[in-house]
Amino acid sequence: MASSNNKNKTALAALTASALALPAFQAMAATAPTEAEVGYRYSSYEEDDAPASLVATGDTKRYTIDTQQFRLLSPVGKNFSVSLDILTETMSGASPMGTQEGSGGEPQLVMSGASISEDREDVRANVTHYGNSVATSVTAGRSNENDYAATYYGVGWEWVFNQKNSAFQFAMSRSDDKITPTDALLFGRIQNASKNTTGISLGLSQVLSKTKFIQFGLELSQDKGYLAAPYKTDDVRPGSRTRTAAVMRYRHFSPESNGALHFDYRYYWDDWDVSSHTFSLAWYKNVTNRLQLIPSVRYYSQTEASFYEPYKVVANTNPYYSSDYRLSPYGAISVGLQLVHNFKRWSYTAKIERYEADADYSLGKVVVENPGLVSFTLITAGFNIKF
Amino acid sequence: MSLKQISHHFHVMGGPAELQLYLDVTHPHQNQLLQLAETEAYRLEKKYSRYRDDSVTSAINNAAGQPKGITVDEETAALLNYAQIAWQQSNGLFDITSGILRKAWDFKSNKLPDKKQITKLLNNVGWQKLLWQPPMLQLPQGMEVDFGGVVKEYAADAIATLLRNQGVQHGLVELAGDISIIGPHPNGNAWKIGVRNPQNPESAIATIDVFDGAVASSGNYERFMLVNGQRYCHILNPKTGWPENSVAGVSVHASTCLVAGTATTTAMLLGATQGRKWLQDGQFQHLLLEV
Amino acid sequence: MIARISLLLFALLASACSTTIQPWERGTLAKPEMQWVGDAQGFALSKHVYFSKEGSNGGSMVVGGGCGCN
Repeated sequence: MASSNNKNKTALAALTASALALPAFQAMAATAPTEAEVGYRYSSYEEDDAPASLVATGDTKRYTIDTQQFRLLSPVGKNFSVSLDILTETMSGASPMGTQEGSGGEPQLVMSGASISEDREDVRANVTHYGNSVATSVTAGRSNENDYAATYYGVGWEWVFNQKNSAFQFAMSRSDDKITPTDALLFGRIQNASKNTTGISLGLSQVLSKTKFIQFGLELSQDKGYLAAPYKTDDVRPGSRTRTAAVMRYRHFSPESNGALHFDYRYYWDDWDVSSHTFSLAWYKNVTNRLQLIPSVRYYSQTEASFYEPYKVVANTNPYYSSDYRLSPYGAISVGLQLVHNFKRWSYTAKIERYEADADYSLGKVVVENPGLVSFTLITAGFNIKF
Repeated sequence: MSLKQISHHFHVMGGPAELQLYLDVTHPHQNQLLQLAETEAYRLEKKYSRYRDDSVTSAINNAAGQPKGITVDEETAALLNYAQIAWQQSNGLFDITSGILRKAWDFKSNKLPDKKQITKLLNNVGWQKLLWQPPMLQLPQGMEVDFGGVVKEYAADAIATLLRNQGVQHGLVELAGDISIIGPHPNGNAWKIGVRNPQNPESAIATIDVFDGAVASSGNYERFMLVNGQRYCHILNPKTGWPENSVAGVSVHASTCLVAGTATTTAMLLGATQGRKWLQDGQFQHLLLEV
Repeated sequence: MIARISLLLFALLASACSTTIQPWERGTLAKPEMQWVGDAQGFALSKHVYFSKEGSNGGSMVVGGGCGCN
């Protein structure tokens, strides 16, 4: 007999609700790719020279890095995909080894010689299984340099529910790193050391309307072991660092302007007292059927670590000390422009990004700017082809 | 991404099927995509055909009269749940147990059925007579279910969803006149769906603009016989065993083809006046043509 | 902060059940430019650069390893 509940609804609403319980309308996790794809990118990363006035000794020419990336993605059967990512890069240039007090009381950089030149290779493989409402993905990889090797692996799940309007993500990851600094005996550096990182992340994404969705995520990770910078002089850091990052990502498509807005925000904090805000905004504008332009801006601002000092002071009672610019207070602004052109099975892309870090960009007041803050230009070109 | 429009025809569930899709010209697995769609249609045909001994429909009907009933799979259970709601919402007119009346009606004979036989058959018609306790279905001896009134529409929706999941954004799926839209034309324009002229079914009496959802149509032109100048169509009232002949044609737009199809069948059985009222009260977008 | 985030997640979960976009309304959300990560290779490189040049790490929901970057 017709229940009172059904009587209150219109026939349309009652039938539609019942129809949606059928398997054809049920949640499907992200579907497996149907085409194989190969991708290649060449990137040139170039840091601005350190200003001569801020360099006490050493070379003023900072890093340039040439990177090549290869990617292979392929479906395997109906429900699996595999991908392989290979990255090789060649770095050259000088890097800050430490700071010292200048004649006017300002910190000055002690740079390494210009002779640093090294390679890094990173190989990563991923297998993803696409189930009815759960996608499971396993990743393993290794990054290798002559003085640093990291082996990492992770597993992630995405569970789709609420008729595919909501998804829950959970991931765990681990990295085991071995550090073997060069010329360790000559310069009294640590000969070999290790560190590991363990992380878990949780995420929840939700469709807000036909054109909007949002994701919230929380990632907790802990670094343990040798966390100092081996080539820096007088760099002593705690043996553990617990990090938390809370993220919000938002996507909004505008049919009128045929473009999609990406807004990402991250709040980060750790038990070294570093905390940061990161805002990114990108506009994916479809100019024609084949051409897409993506202007983007990113803003970053962090506070200093509890044991950070611009340069070593004699009366320091803290057992830990670092003058690494990455632990100093500063802000950074970057702007980018990317172009994507699709032609038949091919897709070509080119991107330029300009990044500038400055104490003046910081949200908080910075008394002394670290002289090692980095500014760089990153240019990328590449293509993808589908089979 | 540059798109090209393709049209693919095949035959399933005793009728023509057509896919109209806009596909990425670079999509190298076009054939696999079409294959996938056909496979889904054949799967549902095989699973619910009453002509096949190995179908779920036959298994259910063969279990009629067994005290323990039969336990059905998840998809069939969802279809039976839907059939129950449709029966309630149509005040008992949309009834998947009414197929047995075919034994009395032979639309090729051009002869009216024997009234006594109809009365006898009606004893074995009526959703209220069977016991549905998901996932267990118990049919009294002599009763039968027929998914013919839901499976074709469900299949159109299932294929559209499947193609959408494969990344197709623009296109439609048509199974013998019932249409499930994948998405509008790439320029955002609606699909123009022709409504058959009941007097001349090969021509359109009107076209309606449809951006999304589905359109199902039913009419007295589909399968019928003329006896003494009176037209008898194949959609039979489960309470009387006879067709109601005052609707010439009806089209309904709804979110899914399944729901639209249930609405057209119900409207055919209610007749022109009551059918129109039921569609209006139920808030269905519709076009109903009287005889 | 964690309490506030959990509250936010809970509120989102609660609201999740009130919004349902049906399968036939999904076309726009499935567009490539609406994905969390548009270009996997570009994203991997950016993540690596920011990780090695800034004091923060995490939140990308992508598995990765360390490096000896100075």
